[in-house]
Amino acid sequence: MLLCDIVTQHVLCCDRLLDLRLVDQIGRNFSGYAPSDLPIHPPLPSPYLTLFCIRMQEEGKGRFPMADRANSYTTPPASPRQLVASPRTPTASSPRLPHAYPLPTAPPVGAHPRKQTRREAADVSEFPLAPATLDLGHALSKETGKKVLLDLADGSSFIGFSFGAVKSVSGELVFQTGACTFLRRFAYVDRDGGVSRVHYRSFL
Amino acid sequence: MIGMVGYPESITDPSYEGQILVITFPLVGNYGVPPRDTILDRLPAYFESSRIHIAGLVVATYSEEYSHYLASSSLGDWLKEQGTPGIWGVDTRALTKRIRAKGSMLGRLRQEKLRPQSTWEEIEWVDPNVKNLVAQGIPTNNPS
Repeated sequence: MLLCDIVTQHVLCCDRLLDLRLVDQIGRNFSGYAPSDLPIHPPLPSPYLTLFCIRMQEEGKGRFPMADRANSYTTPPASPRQLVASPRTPTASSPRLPHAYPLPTAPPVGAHPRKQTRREAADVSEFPLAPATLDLGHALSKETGKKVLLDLADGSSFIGFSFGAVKSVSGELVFQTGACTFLRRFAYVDRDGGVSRVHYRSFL
Repeated sequence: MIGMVGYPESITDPSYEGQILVITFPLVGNYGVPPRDTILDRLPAYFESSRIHIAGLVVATYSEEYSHYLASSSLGDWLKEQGTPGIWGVDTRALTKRIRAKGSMLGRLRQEKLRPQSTWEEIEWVDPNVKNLVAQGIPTNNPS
């Protein structure tokens, strides 16, 4: 697990999209992008940014136990109102966060080096994408960039992006809360005979 | 539905006919879709029926990239193939809480219309509960 923090957020008011800049615990910077799920009415509820208090997970690194993560992650955006008002200008001197979380301690000098497991020895390039970011290019690509309005009978609405067929439909709205992905993924044993790697690019 | 099945099973389930399905699981599409033409004992091997029955799909984060040993295409490609629209980037948990609180309700997915000016396509509300879904053609000799 790697912890990340939001460094700057800009809201593209016209498109209702959030442009996120993140820095993770080891100082890597990611710029990301999150479609905002703001309801259209009322326009900008103040606590919405807390949705993007993102706990980033990067599978295979496993440095921070869950308990650690739960305790140390407390970085609500300082003032959503203010952030909303900020113009969308790239901040050249975006402040790099100091290491807010304890870094993994270096092994004591002279300690017997533990033999690397196969998984650890795997190249980092195994992760072609920055973890836990929504890819701006993907979000704006021709395939998925088109916007869709989800309209509820009670008058509320949500804006999202289109995938699949480009077509308007109406019907009854039903939900499914199954943890379906887990079953599928855990049923998958890879060629090494290892347990499947489950990784998330984002958690909304 | 509190289902313990994956999205390929859910969206081909005939009980979802005419419904727009909201999936609360935060990431959808990451394991792709198994091949549609694999038949096991005269039934589709990996699906509940031979076509998508939902009217539309609502997910939080859609992954066009997929990785699974059975996968033969992405979820988006399959939906496109079957003419079913999807929407991602929606807080499906907030949406679900709303549906839970107010009871199930009708919904519409309206595509963006750019000309002559940017607006949403106008469509009528459709209530699948007043339609005779059985008469609407689920052939009995061919499981669909």
